[in-house]
Amino acid sequence: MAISCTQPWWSARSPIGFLDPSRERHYSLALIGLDPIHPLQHKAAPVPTLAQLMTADPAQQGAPLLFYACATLTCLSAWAIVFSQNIVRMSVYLLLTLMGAAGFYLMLQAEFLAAVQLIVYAGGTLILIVFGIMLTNKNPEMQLRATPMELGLGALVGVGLAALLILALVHTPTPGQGFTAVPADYQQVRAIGRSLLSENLVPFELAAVLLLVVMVGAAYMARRRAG
Amino acid sequence: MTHPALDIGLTHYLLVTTTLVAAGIATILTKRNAIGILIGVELVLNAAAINLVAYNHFAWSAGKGGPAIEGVMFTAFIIVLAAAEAAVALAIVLNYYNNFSSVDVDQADSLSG
Amino acid sequence: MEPRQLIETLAVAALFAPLFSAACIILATRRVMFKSAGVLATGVMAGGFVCSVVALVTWLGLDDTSPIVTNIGWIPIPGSEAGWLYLGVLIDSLTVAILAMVTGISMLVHLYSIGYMDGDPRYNRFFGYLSLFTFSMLGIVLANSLLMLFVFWELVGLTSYLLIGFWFEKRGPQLACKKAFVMNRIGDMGFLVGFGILFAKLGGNILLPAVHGGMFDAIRAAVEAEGYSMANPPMWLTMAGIGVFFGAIGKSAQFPLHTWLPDAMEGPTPVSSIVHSATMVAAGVYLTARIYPILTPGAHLFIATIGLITLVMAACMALVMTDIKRVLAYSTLSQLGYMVLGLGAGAYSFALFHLITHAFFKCCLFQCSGSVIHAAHHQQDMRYYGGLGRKMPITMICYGICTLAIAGASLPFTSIGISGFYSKDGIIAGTVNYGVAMQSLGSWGNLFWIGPTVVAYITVFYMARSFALTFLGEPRDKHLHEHAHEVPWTMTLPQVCLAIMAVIAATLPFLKLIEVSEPAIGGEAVAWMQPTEALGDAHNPGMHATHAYLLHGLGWIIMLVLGVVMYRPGMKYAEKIAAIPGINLLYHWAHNKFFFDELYDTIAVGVCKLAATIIALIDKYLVDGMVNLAGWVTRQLADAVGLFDQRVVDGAVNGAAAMATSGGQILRSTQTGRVRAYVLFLFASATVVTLVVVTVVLVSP
Repeated sequence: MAISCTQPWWSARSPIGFLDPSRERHYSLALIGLDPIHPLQHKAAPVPTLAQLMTADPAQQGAPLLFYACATLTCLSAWAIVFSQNIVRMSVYLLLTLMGAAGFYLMLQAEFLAAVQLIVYAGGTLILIVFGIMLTNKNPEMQLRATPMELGLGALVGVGLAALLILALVHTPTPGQGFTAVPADYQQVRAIGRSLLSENLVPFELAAVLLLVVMVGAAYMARRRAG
Repeated sequence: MTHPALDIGLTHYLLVTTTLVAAGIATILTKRNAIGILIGVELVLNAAAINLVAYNHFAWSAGKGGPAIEGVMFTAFIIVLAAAEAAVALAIVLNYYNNFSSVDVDQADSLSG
Repeated sequence: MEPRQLIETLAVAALFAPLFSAACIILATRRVMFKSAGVLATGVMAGGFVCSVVALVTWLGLDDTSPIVTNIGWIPIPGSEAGWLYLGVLIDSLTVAILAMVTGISMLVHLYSIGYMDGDPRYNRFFGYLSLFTFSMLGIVLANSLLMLFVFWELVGLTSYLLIGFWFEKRGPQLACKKAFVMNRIGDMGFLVGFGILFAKLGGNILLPAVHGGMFDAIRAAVEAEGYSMANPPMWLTMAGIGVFFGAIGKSAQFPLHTWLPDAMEGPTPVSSIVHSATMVAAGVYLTARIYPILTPGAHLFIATIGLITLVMAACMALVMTDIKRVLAYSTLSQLGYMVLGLGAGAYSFALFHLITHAFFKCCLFQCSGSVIHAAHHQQDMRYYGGLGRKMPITMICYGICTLAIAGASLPFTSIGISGFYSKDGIIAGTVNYGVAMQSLGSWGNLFWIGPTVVAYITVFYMARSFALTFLGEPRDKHLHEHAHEVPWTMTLPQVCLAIMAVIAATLPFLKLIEVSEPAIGGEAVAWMQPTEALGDAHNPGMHATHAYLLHGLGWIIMLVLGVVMYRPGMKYAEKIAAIPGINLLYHWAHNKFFFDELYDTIAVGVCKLAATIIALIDKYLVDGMVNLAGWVTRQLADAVGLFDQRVVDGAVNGAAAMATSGGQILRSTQTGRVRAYVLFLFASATVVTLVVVTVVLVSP
């Protein structure tokens, strides 16, 4: 996100390499053992062993098993929010979801974001939500149930959209796994700091102003009016 | 050739976030509690944030000459915005609660046509 | 600097000085320029006066007394003979004399106004108007062409309207300023007609500015180029002269249009004093003098007759008025009648000389009357005065001196007198010549000199009357008398200056200057036009052909004593005389100003009513018939269109409305007002869009 962009953003060197057709194609259908391009030449890979799952992945911060654990935690707690009827429980499930997301950040080598996720999101935003619950709900056990039709429609739209997205996903070429190791002297926090004070300076300042405005605005809106 | 389940790539992350976003949308649509809707919005935001970090990670490995930072920056700003949004949303909810003595969003239908 | 150039520069400076102060005062805000307006305007006017005095002195030293002419091209007129409309100045010896008189009197009136207008809520605006008024008059004096003269002529009309109506909150000034304006418009109409006759006969030549000589010398030359002479003038030239003179009738308040001048007394007294002396009424006489070269004998007879009627009539009215300013107003009318009669009778120099001397003493008289009114708390009726001389000695002395001046006082059996004596005597001498020379009129011609001679004595009588009623005798209103007091120095100083000028004006070289400017008349058929030398000289009045002064020297004293004795105790003798049958009718007639206002009202109203009746008949039968016919046709058309409208247009409109209503009813149901419903629509739409995109992408090759 260079500020001083001499070229239009769409003509800039794409950071997303999978749009480059010369690169190796890796179809997501291969996940379930099918190769959409060469289905006949498919040779089934051996079923992975537990040991293989626990072996550290060079592209990740941890083993594949760790990824699956985080994925399970995140998805299950997210859907638990949907099915939960208790607002306090919902916020607890949200906490689990956020922690799973933090685990993903760790595996994606974004340690700083993981820490921020836990501190700001889990520690700040969630506490804010809990405060909201406390202030607005004289009876925390009170349940506001949706009608079955609403539930059905909501689930239909959510699942339908997810299904469509997955359908698109599995037909989309994604980059290969040619993972190159991060240089030993690479410090991401330093890079973030540099970025914040150079190319992302204006968004940074705008975010600062935004926070100030939000602080004032929230205090103004939430004040108890006389009478 | 390793089994695809062992070779964790971008697709795996995208599948997880798709699930997450579907859960978020379903939450927003089914909850009558204003704070529940806020929680749904947080889920959608998190899905987008994980997406960005994942793209950042694998895009670097796929093409760029060095470690990429753009996705991480985006996510950082998303977290800031999410915090701000939560604060404002809660202020609105408190206001709403002061007016209606409830957080049921279905009661606020005075704009019905 | 070369003297002629210096004179020109000074004259232009004197012209623009009042405009400058007027612009400063009118454009500046009330806060910046209120108290200082009077001092600024007076100071600037004093500067203008100094300029014109220096110009006058320089002019006296000149060897070459031909007019100084400057022309500046203003508006090009393609294809015309003249080529341009010109602006510029024309300065001859008459201009120089009048310039000094106007700036001097204007300066003194400005000074007087500082005291008189003190405390007025529109103090600053008064000085702005007064300066603008002076500027307009100076423009007339310096104008180089008939057109430019007319422009400034109208400016004088406008500014006099503003000044007379200065206290526009009151009903009297409102009516008076309107009357003055309308009366002047009638006169200006005649001016334009005369202008138009000249233009039609002579073409664009009359727009040509003077190159040498007066502006009408060029017109005279054009007339002579057509093969006419003054001895054998064409009828249209007489009509043109009378037409232009009508402008002067309006401005100088001569007989048919005189009614506005007494009413103009409603304005502040400084306005009266300047209008009656230096500016407005002088403009008419000045114009008459300027058009001298083209006046035919017929026009001269007309002018002299108008002057004679005015002077006799106004003197009679002045005898019976009790308002001090109205007495002075009618005396102005009468004196203006002298000037116009003098001009008509060929006594050019003395008529203009009387303009200058009259300006000094009449301005002084008005200022004195203003002081009296100021001291008497705006009581203007002389019947309530009496004995004010003890309270206001300076004002009384000034008023007395100017009474003598207007009376034309001289030592009996000698030719030594005050300024008014010389000028009036010269005019009477000229009229004697004229009356005798007008053989075609028979013995009626004698009226032209009997009239002014008799009126000279009446003048002494009514002036003595006003003096005695105001300043002598016992106080008739004790309360008024107790509160009366002498006015501040800003008001007495101008009075004293003017009184001095009224005494010594004849020793100043005004008459000499005017003589030089007298246009050559020529032509044996106008032998009655005597050059000034034949009428006598101000410094040697003994040459007067009539020796009228010998009688006059005793006569004015008798009339003065008579007036003072009769009116010193108040109005009681006058009331007895006025009660005598026969005289009471005359008194009533004069007291109501000969019923001119009523006459004009009746004529104007009667003509208007007659015209209105005729027009109403036309309106009723012709116009209404056409209107009704048009209405009937329109109505039939409208019925047809209405049918179309109801069936076709309304149907379409109602159909559209019904569609919109039903569509709105359907869409309305989607506006539940619930946030979650909207979110549902949002995501459902997103799902549909995704579905479409995915389908298209997957199906497409």
